[in-house]
Amino acid sequence: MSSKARDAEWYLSILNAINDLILVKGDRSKLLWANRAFLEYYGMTNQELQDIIDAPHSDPDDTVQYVKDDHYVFSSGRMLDIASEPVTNSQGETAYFHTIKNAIFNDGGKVERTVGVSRRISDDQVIQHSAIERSERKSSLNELRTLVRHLPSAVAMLDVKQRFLCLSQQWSQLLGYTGDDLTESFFEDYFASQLPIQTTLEAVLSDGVAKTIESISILTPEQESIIGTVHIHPWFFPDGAVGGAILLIHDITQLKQSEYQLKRANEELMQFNYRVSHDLVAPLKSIKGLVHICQEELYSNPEMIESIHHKMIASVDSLSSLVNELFNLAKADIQCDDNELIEMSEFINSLLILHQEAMDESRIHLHLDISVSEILGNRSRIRQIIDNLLSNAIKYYDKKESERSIWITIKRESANILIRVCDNGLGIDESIHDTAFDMFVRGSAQYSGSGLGLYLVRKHIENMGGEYHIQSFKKNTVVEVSFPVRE
Amino acid sequence: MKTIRSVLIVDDNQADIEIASYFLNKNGNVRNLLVAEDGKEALSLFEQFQSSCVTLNGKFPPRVILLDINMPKLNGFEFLERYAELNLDFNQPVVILMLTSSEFVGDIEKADNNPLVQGYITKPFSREKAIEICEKFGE
Repeated sequence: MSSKARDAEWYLSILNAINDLILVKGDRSKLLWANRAFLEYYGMTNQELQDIIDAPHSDPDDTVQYVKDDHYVFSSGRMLDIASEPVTNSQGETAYFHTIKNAIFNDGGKVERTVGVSRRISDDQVIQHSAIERSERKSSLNELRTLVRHLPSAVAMLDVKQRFLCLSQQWSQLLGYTGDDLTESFFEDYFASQLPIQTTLEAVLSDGVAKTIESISILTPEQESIIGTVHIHPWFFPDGAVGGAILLIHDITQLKQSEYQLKRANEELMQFNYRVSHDLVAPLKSIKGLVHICQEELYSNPEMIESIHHKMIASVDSLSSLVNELFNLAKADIQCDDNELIEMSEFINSLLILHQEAMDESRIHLHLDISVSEILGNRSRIRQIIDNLLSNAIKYYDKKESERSIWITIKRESANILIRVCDNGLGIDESIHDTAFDMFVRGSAQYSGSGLGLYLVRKHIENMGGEYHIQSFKKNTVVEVSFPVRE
Repeated sequence: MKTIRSVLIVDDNQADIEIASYFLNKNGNVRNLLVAEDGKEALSLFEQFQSSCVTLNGKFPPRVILLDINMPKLNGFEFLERYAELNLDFNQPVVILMLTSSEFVGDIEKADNNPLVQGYITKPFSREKAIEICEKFGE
């Protein structure tokens, strides 16, 4: 036998002759080797030693303590003298041992294993005292676990090695976990990629100070992203040592969405306030300027006054139109959705009568394609939608076009009513492709309106749960809106 | 009174264009009046000048620009941004004055902070303003 092999066997025989329990562990309390005394105490074979950490009757609450102690030695490299610790054997009998655990370093000075040597305590007083301590610890740990298990929130309790001690049902639901019981499984193995909190968790376990991650993106197994706030609180043993951490997740996705919507609404409101103030004042200032001109020219150039007069009227009309649109806008948001059965033929005719004169004046031909005889809906909203779209199409005809036309289509498309208004007028500039339905957006200086027409259409459609878009922008502008059929 | 060779009015409101034109013609001393109905049209004039020296029979570039803020396609501030990017260098600097209905503090500050803008006039344009501009920027 080689001297190297003889040396190994020689040392092994010494370790196996010792009556104290000797246990060697790696990181995460992974069992690497135990001496004969250990195997005999637990009634374990070598094979079983490979498979399990503790004997079948081992108390998992005691494991929490072992793990904590192993973690201390492994992470600090320091010796730990445990005056008394419970160890339960294969028959379920618990005895108390004085244990010393120490670190084993590699050549680089890094801890790569720990070794623990445990001697059975025979002093009855010590045993009694230890039993009481153990009972208190188990009791407080049990209470904590029970609490966590039943909390109506996504909560998980970990030991100092980041193994699950228990978790709430909400936790599994939130993170979409449907597998086996996770007790004594490592957090990192199951949720590290979904919940990237490793650095913060380690910091809490190390310094015993709670931390919160305010806003973190959490991926569910269905690849949906939710936003959560994660609170990481340390929990402590009666002796004050950190026992592990409690993780609490608040799903704030809804809150974030509401915040975003509120921010957008505020921005819209600010813009609205700015534009309304400006657009209400602008025509008045124009009128004032025109009045000044009138004062200058009243006697010397009365012909000019008539032209100025028309411009004043135009400014007044512009102001009046804006006020009217603002009023309609206010109503769009607050009006109740009383639905009624609208007979389409009569409805459209009554609408067209109001625009007939303008269409005749501009020599615009109207083509109707209405294949729905009745619609159940809000008469006022539908009326304003068609009225605004038609009004735009009439207003912005192309003077250079000899065959001026507007096409109105109203039909049912699966579960929706579709209203399409098409014209061969001036078109909509590509610079406002994405913003045509925003407030105060006008196509060009040739558009004398308030810029609220399409915005009003949008408001109505949004309130009706529908959709809107513009299909083309040059010749043959097509504006389409649709809303769900009500039965 | 001093003379300004050319003034460009950039405004989408016909009434305001007429008011400014009237007082510049009557009480100012402006040889040429140019009009652009929004920022995009105004920018296009400068781009044409840059690429092919289009001077519109000597009327362009203008000495003074009266620039509205709220216009479709390209508003006044957007025009200033794009104009600055052109990096044009004229023999005689172009004076840009905002002419707007807006008395919003934010707009006034924004104009004040823009190095291209040399004045902020609130509408309506007037006889007094026409005289002041010609005296200050005319020859």
